[in-house]
This record gives sequence, structure tokens and C-alpha cells, in this order.
Amino acid sequence: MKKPQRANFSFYLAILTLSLIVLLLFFLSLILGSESISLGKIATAFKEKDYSSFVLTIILKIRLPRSILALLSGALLAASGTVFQGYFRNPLADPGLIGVSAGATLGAVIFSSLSLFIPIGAFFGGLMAASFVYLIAGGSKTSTDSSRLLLSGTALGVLFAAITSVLLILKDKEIYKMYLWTQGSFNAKGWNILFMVLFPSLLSFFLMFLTTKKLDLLSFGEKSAETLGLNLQGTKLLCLTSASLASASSVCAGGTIGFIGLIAPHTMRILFGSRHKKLLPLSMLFGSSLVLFSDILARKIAPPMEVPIGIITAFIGVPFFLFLLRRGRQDG
Amino acid sequence: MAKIEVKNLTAQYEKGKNVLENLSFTVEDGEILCLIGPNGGGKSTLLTLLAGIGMGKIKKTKNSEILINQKKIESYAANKKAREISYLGQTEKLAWHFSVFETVLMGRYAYSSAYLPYSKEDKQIALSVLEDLGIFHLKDRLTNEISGGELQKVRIARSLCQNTDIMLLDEPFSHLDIQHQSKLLSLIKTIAEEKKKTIVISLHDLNLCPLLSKTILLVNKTEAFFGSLEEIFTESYLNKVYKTDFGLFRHPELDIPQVFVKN
Amino acid sequence: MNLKNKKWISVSIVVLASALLCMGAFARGKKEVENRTLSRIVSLSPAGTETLFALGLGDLLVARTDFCNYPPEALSVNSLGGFDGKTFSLESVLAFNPDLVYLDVTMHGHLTDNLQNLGIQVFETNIASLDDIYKEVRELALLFDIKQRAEELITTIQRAYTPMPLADMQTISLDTENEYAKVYWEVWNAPYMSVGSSSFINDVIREAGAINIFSDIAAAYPVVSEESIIARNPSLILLPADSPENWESLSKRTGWQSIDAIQNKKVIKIDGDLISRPGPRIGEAIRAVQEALQ
Repeated sequence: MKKPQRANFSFYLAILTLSLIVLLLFFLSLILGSESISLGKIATAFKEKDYSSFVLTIILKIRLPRSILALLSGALLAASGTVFQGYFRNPLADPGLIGVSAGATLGAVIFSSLSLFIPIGAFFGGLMAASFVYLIAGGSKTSTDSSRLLLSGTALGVLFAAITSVLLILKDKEIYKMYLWTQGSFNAKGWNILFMVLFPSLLSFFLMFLTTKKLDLLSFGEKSAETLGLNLQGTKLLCLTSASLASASSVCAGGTIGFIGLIAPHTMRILFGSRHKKLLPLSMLFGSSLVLFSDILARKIAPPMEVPIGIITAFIGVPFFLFLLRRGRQDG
Repeated sequence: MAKIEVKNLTAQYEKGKNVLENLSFTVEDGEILCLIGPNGGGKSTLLTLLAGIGMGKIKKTKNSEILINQKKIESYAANKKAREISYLGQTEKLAWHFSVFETVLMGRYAYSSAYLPYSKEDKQIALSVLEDLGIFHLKDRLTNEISGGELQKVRIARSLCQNTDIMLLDEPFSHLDIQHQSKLLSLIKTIAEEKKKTIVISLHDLNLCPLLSKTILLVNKTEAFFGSLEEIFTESYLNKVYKTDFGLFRHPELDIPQVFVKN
Repeated sequence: MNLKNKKWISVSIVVLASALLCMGAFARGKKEVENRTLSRIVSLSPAGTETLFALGLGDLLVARTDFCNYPPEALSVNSLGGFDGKTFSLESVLAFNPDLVYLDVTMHGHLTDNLQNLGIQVFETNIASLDDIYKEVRELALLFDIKQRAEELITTIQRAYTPMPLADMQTISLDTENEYAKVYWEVWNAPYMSVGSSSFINDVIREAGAINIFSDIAAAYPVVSEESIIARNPSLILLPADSPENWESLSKRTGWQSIDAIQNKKVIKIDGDLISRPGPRIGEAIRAVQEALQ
């Protein structure tokens, strides 16, 4: 039988290894980019400290904030995926499932057509969508049925997408811009976006860590969890708010990037089990690695063009995921 | 005063169709009440209501009252309620699988801070409960790696960790082999006696009733009969409610009534 | 045969049938535009409208799009709606009873088959270079037997700007020295989009005697990396006239202060109608770029 004892030893080892991987990828994200700059040049540039030189400008002003955003985005996506999967007790749940991404896209399109700052539109669009779903599907004090929430979220997501399409037809100049945006990209994202999402992101992380014990309990089903003392209403509010906040922040940072929210927690769950106290940080680290890696590829595949990152996460994510599913089935 | 008091309980899932009607009974401290009746007759609904959960789906009428320790059940906050009442449903679909120890430990949730890890004391309690139930050797196994009978014990262990005065059990013996049934039965009897718990247990197998308790509640939707074993466990009541032809005999060794189907 | 074989066979049949269907759709191909007496033209391309008028064929135009706003005479022709194929239908085109429809393959290529099936000729334009413009002008000349006017038009275009030595298409990076002025044309800034070698704007810049910093990318309108813009250090940045950006907003972008064009305040706007229409005024566009380079 394959499943090992989940000794603390392997957890801390995993955290350490993943952290090192994240650091390594972060470093690579700084030294690799569309423009090939040799390590020697980089070293010289840092030694000479000429901050107006192209090398330092590119590394410190373009690549640095971008890499931080990629790292952050990966963690946000993975964490919100973990919480959504835990709350809906569905290993296929993805931040997109509850309509947050669709709402964020709609917000982005509206702001874009009004020539307002798109990321803010995305952020609030995402939050509006989440609130809508919460109100419509679970407004009454006694209703906590998560399958209703999921269905409503999916339905509303489709509605938002339809409204978005209508807007794009009417304002056809927006189409290509938005098409690229929905594929996800960290192109043209710098310090200003980072400062915008930093506070909501950190807040969402804090809140998501508060959900871990509750999510464990929810695995027994809502009825059993309630009898063990879980306050279902409060849990719903905490889980959905924190995960939606994280999801909206990540869309604000990098557009809609798919699969990370699905793959990261699912992979870590197969490898390390479902205790959410462990699952959450593991997923976050893994998510960061995936996004950092994808962003490096996005810039290195056909420089100086940039491939939208959503395409890369799909190409990496899907086969990886299928491989994991097969592996899981062999053990079971 | 009674531990559990039910007064004029009328409940329905949808308007017009009463699942329970004007039900009134009490359970004293330390008593075991057996809940019997045909399938779909409202046993599970009653237990759910007694546990104070599923409030969204089941609607009670205004003059229905359920009192636990003389307090209305609605007035209990989630975690306070979990320290008074434990409930074991018929089935549980586990979304993920933790180890037996972790699962049982979660029974301590109501005593533990919602955000801090479980305390050493919590862990001690969980371990000792595992020992009491004879499943200590399974503590590191995952819940999808053990048998149905063992899993049922794990769930009971989890409920025991809640250290409640009241235990509500919904058909805990169904899906179990006969040898496990009898083991679990004596386990529950022991727990009830040693720890003086108030238990309401619904049973599918009528003949287990007399082994467990002296008080019966026979219910089938709008019909309900409450009383002692001798009063209710009779051919007339059982045949009326179950609409079958039961015969009753006295068990030679144990001196308790037992039923058999005549046709 | 057993069930498994049956399943495989039915799947294969479905796949084969779909493949044949697709091939059939593509096989229709492009019908040559015949030499007939054409007297009613609908133009779905602003550049095409300008070209038609410049060749003296404006009288034959019976309908145009809202965006066909030059020359002034074009405004008196009926319009059938916006530019995008989604804002007008095949029916709107047919309502004008054309015998020739002038359209841009990338925008309205999906209408070609339908129109041809209805017996209407289609002149498809797909311009990726300056030479393509001249080629199309000559094709129109053949169609309408106006060879001399076509050559006159081409000469007019070429005379509109100063001929300059042309740069080789090459990769420009942090290290390359370049004798040609480096130009960055910004299509959009979120994400950063510029022009590559298959866009005629690339040719416009080249003809003006400069070099597009992204001439090494084959795609027409690629998303480019911000760091490459900075590293390739353009000495001139061109923006479409309707862009909300200007030198000030560009100079505020993190890291852009080191770019020559920013330091020398060489951020110039060019009339979008001029430079993004591959038509008779393209020569003026090239001259505009040359003036910007001064």
C-alpha cells in the first residue's frame, strides 16, 4: 500500500524543498527574460551600480516587480483553489467555478471600454460576482447547501460571460485587447499593480489560514460538521470571502490564469493528504512555482514576443494533471 | 427535570405534508430511548431535529418545542450545542480521508479554539477513546483503508470525544455484519451505563430494541406511540404501525420480547 | 465482430467524414475575379475606398462603411454600418446589389464564399508590405483597364516622401549598433503591442529610412516584452493620434526614463487614418514618419 504515514518529517521537508524551488525560479525569473543578458553582464552591472544602465533598469524595474507578481499570483490562485475545493468538497473545484473569473472579466471589459484602469475593474468585478452568488444562492440564514452555491456560481458565470460577449460585440475595438487579457499575462504589470493587490492579497492569505480547521471538519459533510460544532454560516462567509478576495486579486494581477487553482491543491492533496493546515502552504508554494515557471517560459519561447501565460499553464497543467490522475488510480 | 423534552412537535419538509405531527415525549437523564418505526416514517427527521441541525430544510410549527436541559434548542450556539449533544447520522460521505486518529481528534472541535491547533489534552482524550473502543491499532490508518465496521467505530469514537451528555444515533448498526452489530451493541450499552449518557437510538432491527432499553417511541409520520417496552412492544401496536403480521415471543434465555414475521 | 471493433469502426467513420467535410469546405478555394463589366462596387475597407477614389473609380462605389471617411466625396456614398463584420450582415451588403465587393481578408474573409456563391465577385485585399499595395493597385488596373492611372497613382505615392537607403531586417538587441534610427510604434500598452515584419507599418518605417525595433518578429501585431522595448532603445516613439498616451505619460512608466526617445522628447503622434490604411496616402504616412525623425 502506497500511502505513507504523513509524518511531520515529510511535511517540513516538502516545505523546505518547495521553498527552495520557488527561490530558484524567482532568481531565474530575474536573470532570464526576453532580452538575453549574460550573467557576467549582470554581475558587472551590479558591481558598477549604475542604476540608469539598461541592465539594471530591466532587472530591477521590469523583471523584479513582475516576478513578485507572478509569485504572488501563483500563491493566490493555489490558495483560493484549496479553499474552494475544501469548501465545496469537490476536488475539481476551481476559482473559476464560482463565477469570480467571469465576473472579473466582465468588470475588466466595462472599465476598459470606459477607458478606466482595467485591473481595478477586474478586482471589483470579481468581488461583485462572488457577492451576487452568495446573495442569490445562499442568502437565507438557514441555507448553506454548497451544491446550490456551486450551481448558482456556474450559472452566473455563464451569464457574466454572455454579458461580456455582448459588450465586446458592441465595442469591437475592445475584442482583441480583452482576448489577450483573458489569456492572462504579466506583461506591462509593474510596481503599481503590485502595491494595489498587496494588501487584499495578504488579507486574503490571513483569512484563508483561518479556514483550515473548518475545512477539515467539512470533509465529513455539512450535517456531521454541524453536529461537531461547526458554525456553517460563519464558515461559508469566511471561506467564500477569503477565497474570492484571493481570486479577484490574482485576476487583477495577471488576468485570468487557468488550471493553477485546480492543479496545485489537487496535486499536493494526492501527495500529502488533506489536512488543510498543511495543504494550504504546500499548495501556495507549488502554485507560485508553477506560475513563475510559466512566466519564464512565456518570455523565453519566442522572444521578444510574449506568449499569454494562460496558454502555457494549460499546456503544462493538463498533461501533468492527467498523469497524476492515472497515478492516483493505480494506487487506489 | 427531563434531559430532553419534546412538546407538540409538528414538522414538514414542504407545505401541507406533515412528517411528524403533535409529537410529545421526554427522555430522562441517563435513559436510553429506542426509536422504531417503518422506513420514511420520520425517525431520521426526528433525530435531526433533536440534534438541532438541518434547520433550513425542515420547518417546525410555532408551538413545537424541543428543550434540551430545559433550554430551547434554537438558543444553543453551534459549539455549545456540540458539547451537549452528539449526533451520528446514518451515512456520511467523506470527501477526503484523514487518518483514524485525526478523524477522531476532530470530535474535540467544540472544545478547541477555531483557529489554533488541537491541544495536547485533546489529543490525549482522542487516544484514550481509541483505546476504549479497541481501535487504537488503527490510529494511523486512513479512513478509506478500514472496514465498514471499523469505520463505524471510528465515528462513534469521534462522537465520544465530544464528551456530551446526550448521544443521538441514527441506525448505527445498519450496513454492519452481525458480529460487529453485537459488539457495537454491547459497546453502546457499556458507554451508556458507565458514563451515564442519555441516548436516543433509532433501530431498523426491532429485536435489538429490548436488548438496549426499556423505553420506546414508535413513530410513523402522524402516528406516534410513546411508552415503556412492555406497553409498546406488543403485537397490536407493532402490527398497526408496521402494517404487518408480527408475532411476539418471549426469549427463553434473556427474558425479553422478540418479534417474528408470521407470514 | 465484437462490440469493441464496432465502436472503433464507427468512431473512424465519424472522424473520416468530418475530415472530408472540412477538406471540402477549404477546397472551394479562391475564384479568380473575372474581367466583366463591373459597375457597382461595395467597399468594406477604408483603404480600399481611398484607393478606388484615387484611381477615379469613385463613381462606381454604391456603399461603404462608416469608417470610410476619405476622400470627402466618399461621405456622400451610402454607408452600411461599422467596420466589424458583426455590426452589419451579408444582407446589408446584398441590399446594395453589388457586382464587386472589396474587402479585407482578415476582417471579412468569412463573407467571400457566401458572396461568390451568389454570383458576386470579391476583391480580397491582404496587405503585408508596401509592395503589396502596388501589386493590388495594378490588379485593380487590370480589372478596370486603367493601367495608366494605376501607374500614375503609384508614382504619386512614391513621390510623397524622400527615398532613403533601406535597412536590412535584423535583430536589434542591447548590444547591436545601428546606423539606422530605431523606431518603436506602439499599438497598445496593456499588454504592450507593436508591429512586426508582416505588418505594412513595418515597411512604412523602413521606407522612411529607419528601422522598426521589432522587425525581427514575423507576426503582424505581436505582444512584446516591456524589457525589450527598453533594451532596444528606440530614438523615436510613434503613437496613433487617437491614443490617450503622450510623452508625459510614457516618461512616467517605470524604467522608460533611460530610453533615448524619452530623454530627447521624441514621442510623436501620427494620424491613424494615414498610417494604418494601406492605401493611396501611404506615401504621406511615410513622409510624416520622416518628419518625425528630424
